[in-house]
Amino acid sequence: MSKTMSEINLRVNLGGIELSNPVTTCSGTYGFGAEYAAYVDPSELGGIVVKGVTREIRPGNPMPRLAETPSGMLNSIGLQNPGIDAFIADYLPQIRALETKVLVNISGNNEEDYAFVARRLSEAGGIAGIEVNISCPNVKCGGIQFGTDPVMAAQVTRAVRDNTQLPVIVKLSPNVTDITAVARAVVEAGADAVSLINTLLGMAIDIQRVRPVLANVMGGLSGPAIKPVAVRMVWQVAQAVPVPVLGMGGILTAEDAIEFMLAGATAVGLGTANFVNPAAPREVVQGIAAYCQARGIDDVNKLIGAAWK
Amino acid sequence: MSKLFAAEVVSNTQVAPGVFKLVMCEAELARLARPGQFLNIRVSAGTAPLLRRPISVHWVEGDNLTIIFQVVGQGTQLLAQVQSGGRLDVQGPLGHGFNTQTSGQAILVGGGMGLAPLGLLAQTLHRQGRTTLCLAGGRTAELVQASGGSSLAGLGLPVHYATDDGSLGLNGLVTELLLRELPREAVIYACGPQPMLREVAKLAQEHGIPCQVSLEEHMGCGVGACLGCMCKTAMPQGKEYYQRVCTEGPVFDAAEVVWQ
Repeated sequence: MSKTMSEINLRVNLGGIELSNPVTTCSGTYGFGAEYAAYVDPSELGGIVVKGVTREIRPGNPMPRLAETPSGMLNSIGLQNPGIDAFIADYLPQIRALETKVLVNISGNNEEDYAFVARRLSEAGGIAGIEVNISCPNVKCGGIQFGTDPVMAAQVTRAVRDNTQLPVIVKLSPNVTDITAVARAVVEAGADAVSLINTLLGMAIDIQRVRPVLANVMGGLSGPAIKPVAVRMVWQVAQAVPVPVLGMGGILTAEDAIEFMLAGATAVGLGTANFVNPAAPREVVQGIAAYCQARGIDDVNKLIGAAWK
Repeated sequence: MSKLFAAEVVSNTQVAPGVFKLVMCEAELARLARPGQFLNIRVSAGTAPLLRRPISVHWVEGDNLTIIFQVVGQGTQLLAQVQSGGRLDVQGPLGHGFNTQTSGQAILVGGGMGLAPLGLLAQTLHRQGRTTLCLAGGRTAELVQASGGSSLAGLGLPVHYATDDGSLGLNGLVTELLLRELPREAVIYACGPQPMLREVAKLAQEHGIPCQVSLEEHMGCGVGACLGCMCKTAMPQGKEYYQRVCTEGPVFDAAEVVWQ
Protein backbone atom coordinates (compact mmCIF):
# COMPACT_ATOMS: atom_id res chain seq x y z
CA MET A 1 0.00 0.00 0.00
CA SER A 2 1.36 3.40 -0.88
CA LYS A 3 2.20 5.86 1.87
CA THR A 4 1.29 9.50 1.89
CA MET A 5 4.24 11.91 1.92
CA SER A 6 3.70 12.74 5.57
CA GLU A 7 3.82 9.06 6.55
CA ILE A 8 7.28 8.60 5.08
CA ASN A 9 10.08 8.89 7.60
CA LEU A 10 12.73 11.24 6.22
CA ARG A 11 14.79 11.46 9.42
CA VAL A 12 18.32 10.14 9.31
CA ASN A 13 21.10 9.99 11.89
CA LEU A 14 24.44 11.28 10.70
CA GLY A 15 26.99 10.16 13.26
CA GLY A 16 24.90 11.27 16.20
CA ILE A 17 23.31 14.25 14.49
CA GLU A 18 19.55 13.82 13.99
CA LEU A 19 18.59 15.37 10.67
CA SER A 20 14.93 15.99 9.83
CA ASN A 21 15.70 14.88 6.27
CA PRO A 22 18.85 13.75 4.45
CA VAL A 23 19.47 16.99 2.57
CA THR A 24 22.25 19.39 3.59
CA THR A 25 24.25 22.11 1.87
CA CYS A 26 28.00 21.94 1.35
CA SER A 27 30.60 24.11 2.96
CA GLY A 28 31.87 26.96 0.81
CA THR A 29 28.73 27.13 -1.28
CA TYR A 30 26.27 28.31 1.33
CA GLY A 31 28.16 31.12 3.00
CA PHE A 32 27.34 31.46 6.68
CA GLY A 33 23.75 30.32 6.25
CA ALA A 34 21.83 33.54 5.63
CA GLU A 35 22.79 34.10 1.99
CA TYR A 36 20.22 31.64 0.66
CA ALA A 37 17.51 32.07 3.28
CA ALA A 38 15.45 34.11 0.78
CA TYR A 39 15.15 31.05 -1.47
CA VAL A 40 14.91 28.11 0.91
CA ASP A 41 14.02 28.35 4.58
CA PRO A 42 16.88 26.60 6.43
CA SER A 43 14.26 24.80 8.55
CA GLU A 44 13.26 22.84 5.43
CA LEU A 45 16.75 21.34 5.26
CA GLY A 46 18.24 18.50 7.25
CA GLY A 47 21.22 20.69 7.96
CA ILE A 48 23.70 23.16 6.56
CA VAL A 49 27.48 23.18 6.60
CA VAL A 50 28.85 26.70 6.76
CA LYS A 51 31.97 28.12 5.13
CA GLY A 52 35.35 26.86 6.35
CA VAL A 53 36.78 28.63 9.36
CA THR A 54 40.43 28.77 10.40
CA ARG A 55 42.24 29.86 13.56
CA GLU A 56 43.45 33.10 11.95
CA ILE A 57 41.85 35.44 9.43
CA ARG A 58 42.54 34.39 5.84
CA PRO A 59 42.41 36.96 3.02
CA GLY A 60 41.86 34.31 0.35
CA ASN A 61 43.54 33.84 -3.02
CA PRO A 62 44.05 36.48 -5.72
CA MET A 63 41.51 36.82 -8.54
CA PRO A 64 40.43 35.15 -10.77
CA ARG A 65 39.12 32.51 -8.41
CA LEU A 66 36.54 30.87 -10.67
CA ALA A 67 36.50 29.15 -14.04
CA GLU A 68 33.46 27.59 -15.63
CA THR A 69 34.12 24.18 -17.23
CA PRO A 70 31.91 21.66 -19.05
CA SER A 71 29.03 20.90 -16.63
CA GLY A 72 31.21 22.11 -13.79
CA MET A 73 33.35 24.83 -12.34
CA LEU A 74 36.80 25.29 -10.88
CA ASN A 75 37.28 27.36 -7.76
CA SER A 76 40.29 28.54 -5.87
CA ILE A 77 38.92 30.70 -3.07
CA GLY A 78 41.70 29.95 -0.62
CA LEU A 79 39.59 29.54 2.54
CA GLN A 80 38.87 33.25 2.85
CA ASN A 81 37.28 33.68 6.29
CA PRO A 82 37.34 36.09 9.22
CA GLY A 83 39.09 33.71 11.65
CA ILE A 84 37.53 31.75 14.51
CA ASP A 85 37.22 34.65 16.99
CA ALA A 86 35.41 36.96 14.56
CA PHE A 87 33.33 34.01 13.36
CA ILE A 88 32.12 33.29 16.89
CA ALA A 89 31.51 36.94 17.68
CA ASP A 90 30.00 38.18 14.43
CA TYR A 91 28.43 35.18 12.68
CA LEU A 92 27.67 32.44 15.18
CA PRO A 93 24.78 34.27 16.90
CA GLN A 94 22.79 34.47 13.65
CA ILE A 95 23.80 30.92 12.73
CA ARG A 96 22.49 29.63 16.06
CA ALA A 97 19.16 31.29 15.30
CA LEU A 98 18.69 29.18 12.15
CA GLU A 99 16.13 26.44 12.68
CA THR A 100 18.25 23.66 11.28
CA LYS A 101 21.28 21.58 12.24
CA VAL A 102 24.40 23.60 11.60
CA LEU A 103 27.81 22.07 11.06
CA VAL A 104 30.88 24.25 10.99
CA ASN A 105 33.66 23.32 8.60
CA ILE A 106 37.17 23.86 10.00
CA SER A 107 40.66 23.96 8.49
CA GLY A 108 44.15 24.55 9.79
CA ASN A 109 47.87 24.62 9.06
CA ASN A 110 48.68 21.95 11.63
CA GLU A 111 47.10 19.71 14.26
CA GLU A 112 47.25 22.46 16.88
CA ASP A 113 45.19 24.78 14.69
CA TYR A 114 42.49 22.14 14.19
CA ALA A 115 42.47 21.36 17.92
CA PHE A 116 42.25 25.04 18.82
CA VAL A 117 39.36 25.81 16.46
CA ALA A 118 37.47 22.66 17.52
CA ARG A 119 37.84 23.59 21.18
CA ARG A 120 36.74 27.20 20.62
CA LEU A 121 33.66 26.07 18.69
CA SER A 122 32.72 23.53 21.35
CA GLU A 123 33.04 26.13 24.08
CA ALA A 124 31.00 28.62 22.07
CA GLY A 125 28.21 26.04 21.63
CA GLY A 126 25.04 26.13 19.62
CA ILE A 127 26.18 24.03 16.68
CA ALA A 128 25.36 20.42 15.83
CA GLY A 129 28.77 19.21 14.76
CA ILE A 130 32.12 19.88 13.19
CA GLU A 131 33.17 19.01 9.66
CA VAL A 132 36.94 18.66 9.47
CA ASN A 133 38.32 19.81 6.14
CA ILE A 134 41.41 17.76 5.36
CA SER A 135 40.90 18.12 1.66
CA CYS A 136 41.02 21.73 0.53
CA PRO A 137 43.04 21.78 -2.69
CA ASN A 138 43.50 25.53 -2.70
CA VAL A 139 45.79 26.41 0.19
CA LYS A 140 49.54 26.01 0.40
CA CYS A 141 49.58 24.85 4.00
CA GLY A 142 47.21 22.32 5.50
CA GLY A 143 44.16 21.13 3.65
CA ILE A 144 44.78 18.50 1.05
CA GLN A 145 48.15 17.31 2.36
CA PHE A 146 46.38 16.00 5.46
CA GLY A 147 43.75 14.33 3.37
CA THR A 148 46.01 12.35 1.07
CA ASP A 149 48.05 10.63 3.81
CA PRO A 150 46.11 8.23 6.06
CA VAL A 151 48.56 8.75 8.96
CA MET A 152 48.29 12.55 8.89
CA ALA A 153 44.52 12.35 8.34
CA ALA A 154 44.22 10.24 11.46
CA GLN A 155 46.39 12.64 13.47
CA VAL A 156 44.24 15.63 12.55
CA THR A 157 41.06 13.69 13.30
CA ARG A 158 42.45 12.64 16.68
CA ALA A 159 43.41 16.24 17.49
CA VAL A 160 39.83 17.36 16.84
CA ARG A 161 38.30 14.32 18.58
CA ASP A 162 40.31 15.05 21.74
CA ASN A 163 39.06 18.63 21.87
CA THR A 164 35.33 18.35 21.34
CA GLN A 165 32.30 16.38 22.46
CA LEU A 166 30.49 17.38 19.28
CA PRO A 167 30.00 14.88 16.48
CA VAL A 168 33.03 14.97 14.17
CA ILE A 169 32.63 14.49 10.42
CA VAL A 170 35.81 14.28 8.38
CA LYS A 171 35.64 15.54 4.79
CA LEU A 172 37.65 13.35 2.47
CA SER A 173 39.61 14.24 -0.63
CA PRO A 174 39.00 12.40 -3.90
CA ASN A 175 42.55 13.22 -4.97
CA VAL A 176 43.91 9.90 -3.72
CA THR A 177 44.50 6.43 -5.12
CA ASP A 178 42.53 4.59 -2.43
CA ILE A 179 39.97 6.72 -0.60
CA THR A 180 38.97 3.80 1.63
CA ALA A 181 42.43 3.79 3.26
CA VAL A 182 41.98 7.40 4.41
CA ALA A 183 38.37 6.71 5.41
CA ARG A 184 39.39 3.76 7.61
CA ALA A 185 42.19 5.79 9.19
CA VAL A 186 39.96 8.70 10.23
CA VAL A 187 37.24 6.39 11.53
CA GLU A 188 39.78 4.54 13.67
CA ALA A 189 40.91 7.95 14.93
CA GLY A 190 37.42 8.75 16.13
CA ALA A 191 35.43 10.26 13.27
CA ASP A 192 31.67 9.87 13.79
CA ALA A 193 30.98 10.17 10.06
CA VAL A 194 32.76 11.01 6.83
CA SER A 195 31.74 13.42 4.09
CA LEU A 196 32.85 13.00 0.49
CA ILE A 197 33.83 14.07 -1.99
CA ASN A 198 35.58 17.40 -1.79
CA THR A 199 36.54 18.92 -5.14
CA LEU A 200 38.79 17.22 -7.66
CA LEU A 201 42.01 19.05 -8.38
CA GLY A 202 41.89 20.51 -11.87
CA MET A 203 42.88 23.43 -14.05
CA ALA A 204 41.94 25.38 -17.14
CA ILE A 205 44.05 27.45 -19.53
CA ASP A 206 42.95 30.58 -21.36
CA ILE A 207 44.21 29.97 -24.88
CA GLN A 208 43.96 33.67 -25.82
CA ARG A 209 46.01 34.91 -22.88
CA VAL A 210 48.12 31.73 -22.94
CA ARG A 211 47.90 31.58 -19.13
CA PRO A 212 46.05 29.50 -16.56
CA VAL A 213 42.56 30.91 -15.97
CA LEU A 214 42.89 30.79 -12.18
CA ALA A 215 45.39 33.08 -10.49
CA ASN A 216 46.28 30.15 -8.24
CA VAL A 217 46.78 28.01 -11.39
CA MET A 218 44.95 24.96 -10.02
CA GLY A 219 41.56 24.72 -8.36
CA GLY A 220 38.87 22.38 -7.21
CA LEU A 221 36.43 20.97 -9.77
CA SER A 222 32.80 20.69 -8.68
CA GLY A 223 29.40 20.32 -10.30
CA PRO A 224 27.68 17.54 -12.28
CA ALA A 225 30.96 16.78 -14.08
CA ILE A 226 32.31 15.03 -10.96
CA LYS A 227 29.17 13.13 -9.98
CA PRO A 228 30.11 9.67 -11.26
CA VAL A 229 33.44 9.88 -9.42
CA ALA A 230 31.64 10.87 -6.23
CA VAL A 231 29.05 8.09 -6.51
CA ARG A 232 31.84 5.54 -6.99
CA MET A 233 33.74 6.79 -3.93
CA VAL A 234 30.62 6.89 -1.75
CA TRP A 235 29.94 3.30 -2.86
CA GLN A 236 33.47 2.25 -1.86
CA VAL A 237 33.69 4.15 1.43
CA ALA A 238 30.21 3.31 2.71
CA GLN A 239 31.05 -0.38 2.45
CA ALA A 240 34.50 0.03 3.96
CA VAL A 241 33.68 1.90 7.18
CA PRO A 242 31.03 1.39 9.89
CA VAL A 243 30.11 5.10 10.17
CA PRO A 244 27.56 7.07 8.11
CA VAL A 245 28.57 8.82 4.90
CA LEU A 246 27.52 12.33 3.91
CA GLY A 247 27.64 12.09 0.13
CA MET A 248 28.27 15.05 -2.15
CA GLY A 249 29.72 15.89 -5.52
CA GLY A 250 27.65 17.23 -8.39
CA ILE A 251 24.17 16.65 -6.97
CA LEU A 252 21.67 18.89 -8.77
CA THR A 253 18.42 16.97 -8.50
CA ALA A 254 16.53 14.49 -6.31
CA GLU A 255 17.48 11.75 -8.78
CA ASP A 256 21.14 12.54 -8.17
CA ALA A 257 20.64 12.54 -4.40
CA ILE A 258 18.81 9.19 -4.49
CA GLU A 259 21.69 7.74 -6.49
CA PHE A 260 24.08 8.74 -3.69
CA MET A 261 21.85 7.19 -1.04
CA LEU A 262 21.53 3.96 -3.01
CA ALA A 263 25.35 3.96 -3.18
CA GLY A 264 25.46 4.10 0.61
CA ALA A 265 25.14 7.74 1.67
CA THR A 266 23.06 8.39 4.80
CA ALA A 267 22.68 12.04 3.89
CA VAL A 268 23.61 14.21 0.92
CA GLY A 269 25.10 17.64 0.39
CA LEU A 270 24.23 20.16 -2.32
CA GLY A 271 27.00 22.55 -3.26
CA THR A 272 27.36 24.00 -6.73
CA ALA A 273 23.66 23.19 -7.24
CA ASN A 274 22.79 26.21 -5.11
CA PHE A 275 24.44 28.50 -7.65
CA VAL A 276 22.52 26.93 -10.53
CA ASN A 277 19.17 26.63 -8.80
CA PRO A 278 18.83 28.23 -5.35
CA ALA A 279 15.62 26.27 -4.82
CA ALA A 280 17.40 22.94 -5.42
CA PRO A 281 17.71 21.85 -1.77
CA ARG A 282 13.94 22.10 -1.26
CA GLU A 283 13.22 20.36 -4.57
CA VAL A 284 15.58 17.54 -3.62
CA VAL A 285 13.84 16.99 -0.24
CA GLN A 286 10.47 16.85 -2.02
CA GLY A 287 11.82 14.62 -4.79
CA ILE A 288 13.26 12.09 -2.35
CA ALA A 289 9.91 11.89 -0.57
CA ALA A 290 8.08 11.50 -3.87
CA TYR A 291 10.43 8.69 -4.93
CA CYS A 292 9.80 6.85 -1.66
CA GLN A 293 6.06 7.35 -2.01
CA ALA A 294 5.99 6.10 -5.58
CA ARG A 295 7.84 2.93 -4.58
CA GLY A 296 5.92 2.34 -1.36
CA ILE A 297 8.98 2.96 0.81
CA ASP A 298 8.02 4.17 4.30
CA ASP A 299 11.49 5.06 5.55
CA VAL A 300 14.21 6.93 3.66
CA ASN A 301 16.80 4.91 5.59
CA LYS A 302 15.81 1.94 3.44
CA LEU A 303 17.45 3.68 0.47
CA ILE A 304 20.87 3.73 2.11
CA GLY A 305 23.09 1.24 0.31
CA ALA A 306 20.10 -0.42 -1.32
CA ALA A 307 22.06 -0.85 -4.55
CA TRP A 308 24.69 -3.03 -2.88
CA LYS A 309 22.57 -6.17 -2.97
CA MET B 1 15.08 40.96 -1.22
CA SER B 2 15.93 38.81 -4.20
CA LYS B 3 13.82 35.93 -5.39
CA LEU B 4 13.48 33.42 -8.19
CA PHE B 5 11.14 34.42 -11.00
CA ALA B 6 9.85 32.80 -14.16
CA ALA B 7 9.73 36.04 -16.13
CA GLU B 8 7.79 36.18 -19.36
CA VAL B 9 9.92 37.18 -22.34
CA VAL B 10 8.20 40.05 -24.17
CA SER B 11 10.80 40.49 -26.89
CA ASN B 12 14.40 39.67 -27.71
CA THR B 13 15.82 41.75 -30.52
CA GLN B 14 19.22 42.15 -32.11
CA VAL B 15 19.86 45.90 -31.95
CA ALA B 16 23.40 45.89 -33.37
CA PRO B 17 25.73 43.14 -34.58
CA GLY B 18 26.00 40.75 -31.62
CA VAL B 19 24.07 43.06 -29.26
CA PHE B 20 20.62 42.04 -28.00
CA LYS B 21 17.89 43.84 -26.13
CA LEU B 22 15.66 41.51 -24.15
CA VAL B 23 12.46 42.76 -22.52
CA MET B 24 10.83 40.64 -19.84
CA CYS B 25 7.63 41.10 -17.89
CA GLU B 26 7.64 40.47 -14.15
CA ALA B 27 5.81 43.00 -12.00
CA GLU B 28 7.45 42.26 -8.65
CA LEU B 29 10.94 42.18 -10.12
CA ALA B 30 10.30 45.46 -11.93
CA ARG B 31 9.14 47.02 -8.67
CA LEU B 32 12.15 45.77 -6.70
CA ALA B 33 14.97 46.56 -9.14
CA ARG B 34 17.21 49.51 -8.28
CA PRO B 35 19.78 51.24 -10.51
CA GLY B 36 23.02 49.26 -10.73
CA GLN B 37 21.49 45.99 -9.57
CA PHE B 38 21.73 42.85 -11.67
CA LEU B 39 19.76 39.74 -12.55
CA ASN B 40 21.29 36.27 -12.39
CA ILE B 41 19.83 34.47 -15.38
CA ARG B 42 19.83 30.74 -16.02
CA VAL B 43 20.55 30.40 -19.71
CA SER B 44 20.35 26.61 -20.01
CA ALA B 45 17.89 24.16 -18.54
CA GLY B 46 20.70 21.60 -18.61
CA THR B 47 24.24 21.79 -17.28
CA ALA B 48 26.04 23.52 -20.14
CA PRO B 49 26.78 26.19 -19.36
CA LEU B 50 26.27 25.45 -15.70
CA LEU B 51 26.34 28.85 -14.05
CA ARG B 52 23.86 31.67 -14.28
CA ARG B 53 24.81 34.85 -16.14
CA PRO B 54 24.78 38.10 -14.17
CA ILE B 55 23.38 40.93 -16.32
CA SER B 56 22.48 44.41 -15.13
CA VAL B 57 19.02 45.91 -15.43
CA HIS B 58 19.00 48.48 -18.20
CA TRP B 59 15.51 49.85 -18.06
CA VAL B 60 12.27 49.52 -16.12
CA GLU B 61 8.92 50.57 -17.52
CA GLY B 62 5.76 49.45 -15.77
CA ASP B 63 6.03 45.69 -15.26
CA ASN B 64 8.73 45.35 -17.91
CA LEU B 65 12.47 45.14 -17.41
CA THR B 66 15.03 45.39 -20.18
CA ILE B 67 18.51 43.93 -20.29
CA ILE B 68 21.09 44.56 -22.98
CA PHE B 69 23.80 42.03 -23.62
CA GLN B 70 26.53 41.25 -26.08
CA VAL B 71 27.06 37.71 -27.34
CA VAL B 72 30.51 36.81 -26.06
CA GLY B 73 30.26 33.10 -25.31
CA GLN B 74 28.09 30.04 -24.98
CA GLY B 75 25.83 31.56 -22.30
CA THR B 76 24.98 34.78 -24.10
CA GLN B 77 24.60 32.81 -27.34
CA LEU B 78 21.82 30.78 -25.71
CA LEU B 79 20.28 33.92 -24.26
CA ALA B 80 20.23 35.46 -27.73
CA GLN B 81 18.09 32.53 -28.92
CA VAL B 82 15.39 33.02 -26.28
CA GLN B 83 12.04 33.58 -27.99
CA SER B 84 9.31 36.01 -26.98
CA GLY B 85 6.46 34.32 -25.16
CA GLY B 86 8.86 31.97 -23.35
CA ARG B 87 9.85 32.05 -19.70
CA LEU B 88 13.21 33.02 -18.30
CA ASP B 89 14.53 31.70 -14.96
CA VAL B 90 15.67 34.92 -13.30
CA GLN B 91 17.16 35.39 -9.85
CA GLY B 92 17.14 38.93 -8.56
CA PRO B 93 17.40 41.75 -8.15
CA LEU B 94 20.89 41.32 -6.74
CA GLY B 95 23.77 43.45 -5.59
CA HIS B 96 24.37 46.86 -4.11
CA GLY B 97 23.53 49.39 -6.79
CA PHE B 98 24.18 53.09 -7.33
CA ASN B 99 23.52 55.46 -4.47
CA THR B 100 21.27 58.17 -5.88
CA GLN B 101 20.96 60.05 -2.60
CA THR B 102 23.74 62.39 -3.66
CA SER B 103 23.82 66.08 -4.48
CA GLY B 104 24.98 68.26 -7.32
CA GLN B 105 25.02 67.52 -11.00
CA ALA B 106 25.21 63.86 -11.93
CA ILE B 107 27.70 62.93 -14.64
CA LEU B 108 27.06 59.49 -16.08
CA VAL B 109 30.06 57.99 -17.85
CA GLY B 110 29.55 54.79 -19.82
CA GLY B 111 31.79 52.80 -22.11
CA GLY B 112 30.58 50.02 -24.41
CA MET B 113 28.22 47.58 -22.71
CA GLY B 114 28.83 49.57 -19.54
CA LEU B 115 26.24 52.02 -20.84
CA ALA B 116 23.47 49.52 -20.14
CA PRO B 117 23.17 49.88 -16.33
CA LEU B 118 23.28 53.67 -16.65
CA GLY B 119 19.82 53.56 -18.25
CA LEU B 120 17.90 52.74 -15.08
CA LEU B 121 20.14 55.13 -13.16
CA ALA B 122 19.30 57.91 -15.62
CA GLN B 123 15.59 57.08 -15.33
CA THR B 124 15.81 57.38 -11.55
CA LEU B 125 17.81 60.61 -11.53
CA HIS B 126 15.51 62.06 -14.18
CA ARG B 127 12.49 61.26 -11.99
CA GLN B 128 14.23 62.98 -9.07
CA GLY B 129 14.67 66.06 -11.26
CA ARG B 130 18.44 65.92 -10.99
CA THR B 131 20.59 67.77 -13.47
CA THR B 132 22.24 64.98 -15.37
CA LEU B 133 24.89 64.90 -18.07
CA CYS B 134 25.60 61.68 -19.95
CA LEU B 135 28.91 60.82 -21.56
CA ALA B 136 28.65 57.77 -23.79
CA GLY B 137 31.58 56.02 -25.42
CA GLY B 138 32.06 52.97 -27.60
CA ARG B 139 33.56 51.53 -30.75
CA THR B 140 31.00 52.80 -33.27
CA ALA B 141 27.87 54.97 -33.37
CA GLU B 142 25.75 51.87 -33.85
CA LEU B 143 27.19 50.09 -30.82
CA VAL B 144 27.00 53.15 -28.56
CA GLN B 145 23.34 53.67 -29.41
CA ALA B 146 22.49 49.97 -29.11
CA SER B 147 24.20 49.42 -25.76
CA GLY B 148 22.22 52.18 -24.05
CA GLY B 149 23.10 55.54 -25.64
CA SER B 150 19.74 55.87 -27.38
CA SER B 151 17.86 55.23 -24.12
CA LEU B 152 19.73 58.05 -22.39
CA ALA B 153 19.02 60.42 -25.25
CA GLY B 154 15.39 59.28 -25.23
CA LEU B 155 14.94 60.68 -21.74
CA GLY B 156 15.82 64.09 -23.13
CA LEU B 157 19.06 64.22 -21.20
CA PRO B 158 22.12 65.89 -22.75
CA VAL B 159 24.39 63.17 -24.13
CA HIS B 160 27.92 63.70 -25.43
CA TYR B 161 29.39 60.90 -27.49
CA ALA B 162 32.85 59.55 -28.14
CA THR B 163 33.58 56.73 -30.59
CA ASP B 164 36.72 54.87 -31.59
CA ASP B 165 35.96 55.36 -35.28
CA GLY B 166 34.63 58.89 -35.03
CA SER B 167 31.22 57.86 -36.39
CA LEU B 168 29.48 59.72 -33.55
CA GLY B 169 30.73 62.64 -31.49
CA LEU B 170 34.36 62.87 -30.51
CA ASN B 171 36.82 60.60 -32.29
CA GLY B 172 38.41 59.38 -29.08
CA LEU B 173 37.77 58.18 -25.56
CA VAL B 174 34.86 58.93 -23.26
CA THR B 175 37.38 59.90 -20.57
CA GLU B 176 38.48 62.79 -22.82
CA LEU B 177 34.87 64.02 -22.74
CA LEU B 178 34.93 63.78 -18.95
CA LEU B 179 38.14 65.77 -18.69
CA ARG B 180 36.50 68.62 -20.64
CA GLU B 181 33.76 68.84 -18.00
CA LEU B 182 36.14 69.07 -15.06
CA PRO B 183 36.48 70.61 -12.60
CA ARG B 184 32.93 71.09 -11.43
CA GLU B 185 30.60 70.38 -8.52
CA ALA B 186 29.28 67.01 -9.42
CA VAL B 187 29.06 63.31 -8.68
CA ILE B 188 30.30 60.79 -11.22
CA TYR B 189 28.60 57.45 -11.95
CA ALA B 190 30.61 55.18 -14.23
CA CYS B 191 30.41 51.77 -15.83
CA GLY B 192 32.60 50.30 -18.52
CA PRO B 193 35.83 48.43 -19.17
CA GLN B 194 38.44 48.40 -16.38
CA PRO B 195 40.94 50.76 -18.11
CA MET B 196 38.16 53.31 -18.60
CA LEU B 197 36.97 53.01 -14.99
CA ARG B 198 40.52 53.32 -13.70
CA GLU B 199 40.97 56.55 -15.67
CA VAL B 200 37.58 57.91 -14.55
CA ALA B 201 38.48 57.12 -10.94
CA LYS B 202 41.82 58.89 -11.35
CA LEU B 203 40.20 62.02 -12.83
CA ALA B 204 37.58 62.04 -10.08
CA GLN B 205 40.23 61.79 -7.41
CA GLU B 206 42.38 64.53 -8.99
CA HIS B 207 39.40 66.86 -9.01
CA GLY B 208 38.05 65.83 -5.63
CA ILE B 209 34.73 64.61 -7.06
CA PRO B 210 32.84 61.67 -5.54
CA CYS B 211 32.67 58.78 -7.96
CA GLN B 212 30.77 55.49 -8.00
CA VAL B 213 31.89 52.72 -10.33
CA SER B 214 30.01 49.59 -11.33
CA LEU B 215 32.33 46.60 -11.77
CA GLU B 216 31.91 43.45 -13.77
CA GLU B 217 33.16 40.04 -12.67
CA HIS B 218 32.54 36.36 -13.35
CA MET B 219 30.31 35.07 -10.58
CA GLY B 220 29.61 31.75 -8.95
CA CYS B 221 26.58 32.27 -6.77
CA GLY B 222 25.66 35.97 -7.14
CA VAL B 223 24.44 36.13 -3.53
CA GLY B 224 27.64 36.42 -1.53
CA ALA B 225 28.08 32.79 -0.57
CA CYS B 226 30.98 31.54 -2.68
CA LEU B 227 33.49 34.42 -2.51
CA GLY B 228 34.41 33.89 -6.14
CA CYS B 229 33.86 37.43 -7.51
CA MET B 230 36.10 39.56 -5.36
CA CYS B 231 37.35 43.12 -5.77
CA LYS B 232 40.43 44.25 -3.88
CA THR B 233 39.58 47.36 -1.92
CA ALA B 234 41.54 49.61 0.40
CA MET B 235 40.58 50.97 3.80
CA PRO B 236 41.42 54.61 4.50
CA GLN B 237 44.32 53.32 6.65
CA GLY B 238 45.69 51.61 3.55
CA LYS B 239 44.86 48.04 4.58
CA GLU B 240 43.65 46.03 1.61
CA TYR B 241 40.92 43.44 1.67
CA TYR B 242 38.58 41.66 -0.72
CA GLN B 243 34.93 42.61 -1.06
CA ARG B 244 32.28 40.69 -2.99
CA VAL B 245 31.35 42.24 -6.34
CA CYS B 246 27.94 40.52 -6.14
CA THR B 247 27.04 41.75 -2.66
CA GLU B 248 29.05 44.78 -1.49
CA GLY B 249 29.15 45.68 -5.22
CA PRO B 250 28.81 45.71 -8.14
CA VAL B 251 28.84 49.46 -7.39
CA PHE B 252 31.77 50.63 -5.30
CA ASP B 253 33.11 53.99 -4.23
CA ALA B 254 35.89 54.50 -6.81
CA ALA B 255 38.26 55.67 -4.07
CA GLU B 256 38.03 52.25 -2.37
CA VAL B 257 38.94 50.17 -5.39
CA VAL B 258 42.48 48.89 -5.76
CA TRP B 259 42.82 48.83 -9.55
CA GLN B 260 44.64 45.83 -10.99
